[in-house]
Amino acid sequence: MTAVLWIAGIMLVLASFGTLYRIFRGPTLLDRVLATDLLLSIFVAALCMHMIASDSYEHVLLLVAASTIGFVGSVTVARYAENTPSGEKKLRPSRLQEVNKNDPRSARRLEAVRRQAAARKRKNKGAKSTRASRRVSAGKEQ
Amino acid sequence: MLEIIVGICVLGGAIMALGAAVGLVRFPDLLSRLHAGTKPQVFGLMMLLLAVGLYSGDWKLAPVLLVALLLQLLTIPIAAHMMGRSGYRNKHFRSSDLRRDDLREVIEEADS
Repeated sequence: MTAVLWIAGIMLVLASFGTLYRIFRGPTLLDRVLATDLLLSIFVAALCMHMIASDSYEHVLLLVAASTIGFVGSVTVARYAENTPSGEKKLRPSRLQEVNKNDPRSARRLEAVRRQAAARKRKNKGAKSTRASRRVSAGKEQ
Repeated sequence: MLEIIVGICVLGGAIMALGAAVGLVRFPDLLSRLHAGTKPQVFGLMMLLLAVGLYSGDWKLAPVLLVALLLQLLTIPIAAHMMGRSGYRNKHFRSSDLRRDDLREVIEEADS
């Protein structure tokens, strides 16, 4: 049992070094949040192993607390980590990425949707042209 | 016999954690890292809680372990979903890596 716990502990140490590398290196905020979440779950695993090794089970409630805290933290950060300047429904077509090349059918469908959107925009242009254009220019300045 | 099962469960949980860390280091973008990173949080924890419950041999621990497992099962998919959603909206991936992308058309239609 002791040998198994040693091997598993060494694995956990290596895993936590991997997650620390990702926290240090992670190109985006969400990568860091994911790595922190994984670090917390490695900590929970180490806690379980400690309980088995020392044969004392007072820390069981800490497992519940750790899972709840990890959930609240990651959901909060993910909710407010919006880098885009406008909200989710205002993504401009020019800001979207290039067409998916693996799937020609989806590219064609996307083209059709885009054409419809352009037609609708032309139809609505007369009604609210001044306000919309002012908003667009303000967005470009930022 | 019991010790062997407990040892297998502990080793399984540790291997899951190590695999997730390797995936976190090696994978190229956020969505694939999300795929790797959420594995030990559910299955690895399940194995470790099973190991604790078996090794203690105490039925009084079972409800607490069950509550911990159920909380994790409820919360981890939500957290991963929120992270994936935020990652998609912030475009933390290469769109040429996807074979099929249905969400994009919905966003385009909402935009118009």
